[in-house]
Amino acid sequence: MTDLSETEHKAKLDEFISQDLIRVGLKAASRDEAVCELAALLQKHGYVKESYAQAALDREKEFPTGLPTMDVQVAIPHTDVEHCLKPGMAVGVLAQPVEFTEMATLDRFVQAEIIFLLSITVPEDQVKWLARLVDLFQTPGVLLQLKDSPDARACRQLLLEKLRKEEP
Amino acid sequence: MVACGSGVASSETAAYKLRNLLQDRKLQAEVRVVNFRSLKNLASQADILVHIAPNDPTDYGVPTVNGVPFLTGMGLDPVMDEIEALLKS
Repeated sequence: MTDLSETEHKAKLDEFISQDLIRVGLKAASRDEAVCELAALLQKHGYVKESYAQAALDREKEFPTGLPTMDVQVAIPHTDVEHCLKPGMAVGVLAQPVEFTEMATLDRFVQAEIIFLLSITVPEDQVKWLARLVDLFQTPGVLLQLKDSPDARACRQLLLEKLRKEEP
Repeated sequence: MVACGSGVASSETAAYKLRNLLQDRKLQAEVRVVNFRSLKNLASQADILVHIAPNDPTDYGVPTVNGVPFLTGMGLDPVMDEIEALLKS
């Protein structure tokens, strides 16, 4: 990761997980609808180009991103860096789960209850956050807690706390 | 070598996890991330392929393990055991 001061790093993480990009109780009838809603947030706030939504949907069909995580199943849709403008993560806590195909399969499915739609510009710079996101998936109870967030603010606070965590 | 659709998020994250776990087990290996499109040309340079893409019928002639457990944590120990055995063989 690029060498950053603590303050710079905090500012970058604050922008990566912006409250503008979080929807709690998101109503979506399908995977594509959920991805489009969240992609529209990323676009509205200048994180991705107009081409992002379609590119993410296309990639999802070829390389699915549903994860059979414990407690609560999730999906981490994303696409190539050329569609992204700055690093960010739109989060949708869904009112009703939507079906995603499980990563690395075409015939297994997960009922995703939280979607993390990623805008990644420099993978090597953002991988630490992604690794901590994955740690969070693997920590019992945290996804349940996220799912039960009363509002976007609470959801963001929890994510910030978990992603800010220092390396062991 | 870790491969996924675009080499952006899934494989990069799996590779990061793999590097840490290799270190924990005191195993020496170079971990490289590639996207799926370049895999055909690059696979022959790998000793082990950590694969995060569906239904790839290609035989790369390299032992292949499933990389999804690096992201979910589920079934991770058996995958690491497999990688350790392959590295030592």
